[in-house]
Amino acid sequence: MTTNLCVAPEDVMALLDGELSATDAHVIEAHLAECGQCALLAKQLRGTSTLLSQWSVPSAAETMDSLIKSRAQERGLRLQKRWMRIPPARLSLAGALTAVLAGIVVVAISLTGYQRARMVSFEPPSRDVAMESPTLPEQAVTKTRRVSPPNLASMLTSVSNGVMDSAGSDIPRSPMPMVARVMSMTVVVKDVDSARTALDSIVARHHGYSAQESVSTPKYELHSVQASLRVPASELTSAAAEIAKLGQIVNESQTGEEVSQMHADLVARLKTARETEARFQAILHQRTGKVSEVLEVEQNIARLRRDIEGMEAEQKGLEHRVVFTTIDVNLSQEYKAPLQPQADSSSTQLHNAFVEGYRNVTGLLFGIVLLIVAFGPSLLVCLVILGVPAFLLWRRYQKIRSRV
Amino acid sequence: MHEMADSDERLMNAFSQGNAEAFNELFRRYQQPIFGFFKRRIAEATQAEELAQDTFLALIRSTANYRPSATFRTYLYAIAFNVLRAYRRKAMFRSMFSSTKEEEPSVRNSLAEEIVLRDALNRLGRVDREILLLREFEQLSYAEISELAQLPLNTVRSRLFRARMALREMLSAPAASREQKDLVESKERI
Repeated sequence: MTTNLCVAPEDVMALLDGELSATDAHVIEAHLAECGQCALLAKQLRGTSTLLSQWSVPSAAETMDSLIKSRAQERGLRLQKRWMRIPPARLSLAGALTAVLAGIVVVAISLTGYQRARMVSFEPPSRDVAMESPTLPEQAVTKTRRVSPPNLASMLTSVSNGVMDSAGSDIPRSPMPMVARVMSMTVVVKDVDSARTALDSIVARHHGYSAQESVSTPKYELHSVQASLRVPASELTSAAAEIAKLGQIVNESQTGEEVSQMHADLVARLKTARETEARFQAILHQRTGKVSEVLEVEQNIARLRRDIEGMEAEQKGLEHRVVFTTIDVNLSQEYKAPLQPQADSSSTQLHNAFVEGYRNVTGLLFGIVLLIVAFGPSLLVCLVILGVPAFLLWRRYQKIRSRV
Repeated sequence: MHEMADSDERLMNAFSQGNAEAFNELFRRYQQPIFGFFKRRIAEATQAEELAQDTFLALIRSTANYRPSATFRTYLYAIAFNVLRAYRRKAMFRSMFSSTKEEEPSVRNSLAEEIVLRDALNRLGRVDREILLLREFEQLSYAEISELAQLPLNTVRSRLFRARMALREMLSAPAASREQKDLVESKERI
């Protein structure tokens, strides 16, 4: 700055506001003493400030005091506790971090449990309890009701009694409930192939058979065997105990369905059908009539025979379900981290990644196009409907804003 | 009294440690300035009192957030500006859905000088007006205004000069010949 030229008018104002350093203030003051134009400006600025200073406001009401002071008192008491001085933002951050840590801990615990489930040293759970209290449907047996496992010999006797007594007048009823049981077991084994062989021998030892068996041996994944076994109900406990020894049980469940009523109904219907068939046979042998009548009787006999055979098959299936318990076994191989790297070459993996990426991108773009096509027209209509009032409100808002 | 000689910042720190007396002293110092801050911007005295009260309550609530990096005065006026902005937003929202213009009885009851000043100030751009008010009435330094308005220091200086000159021109011109000037609405923080 120099006194030879007029200074910036903002500097004159800054001088009056006391915003200049001592050196600059001295220079500007010296200039004002010489320059009439700048002195006039300073005078005008002072005049404006004087005008504004005439605008006084009334004193604030005393009513505010009590409320504010009481709040300050309360707050002061709370702030005497150290933790209350932590800023809310930090408290929120701490809370979020705690939540994240808790999440990590939960995930870690879950993973640990999963890994433990794969460990060989894991003790198999007590199986007696599960065997003694099978879960049955409510309509069949209540949970508190004790259901003894059906004995193969007695069950066969009772079932055959029911079937053979069809000539009798009373509907045969089993002395004990007929329960069709299904057991499901998931066992993690070290070697699936040897476990499978052992499973076959267990089934043979307990006079059962394998209804279905599927083996999965993918190249880079865990091998597994799914088998649906049938073992006599009386052998269920011992067979299941032996299967459990193949490895470690990670899942086990048992369900039972009481089929006594279903069986009794079937036997009764079978009995009635047989009696009707016998009467038709008698009519056919003892009476004579027109050919059409004979044919009608024979048709009825044929229909009844079909029904009887169907019901007999159903009865046998039902009895078989009671006598032979189903055990669905899932043998899976214990996980061992592979030491070898992926068999695919790096270039193949890279190529596959590119192809996958390309597919993802095209899929995403196509999805966006589909989304626009699907919802675009509706959105356009909504935009038109809502846009006009929104535009009017916006104009009004701008108008009011300019006034404030 | 020893506390009287304490700086605002020390008093605020004492309050953040739980000393309610320190706050009382701050309240005593700033009750009238904060009320004046609102009274000059909102004609209704009752409303100005309520907003001043809200400002102090917000200050009490946000004690834990206070950091002595800025001056207490700037911090307090920043809170006051937030309260004012919230009030204006609500007022604007109400106006959008109300057909009648809100009356300001205290404007009608005000002194002639006050009406003239209000009228002249209302003709200034929003940011220029706030800078001028902060300097003339709240006596904030250029640096404090710059921090509060989030504007460069030189911009504050030039805008303040422009506002003063415009105001002088409006106040010196006859009332009848005062024309609405084309004042560009600024999009800055204030």
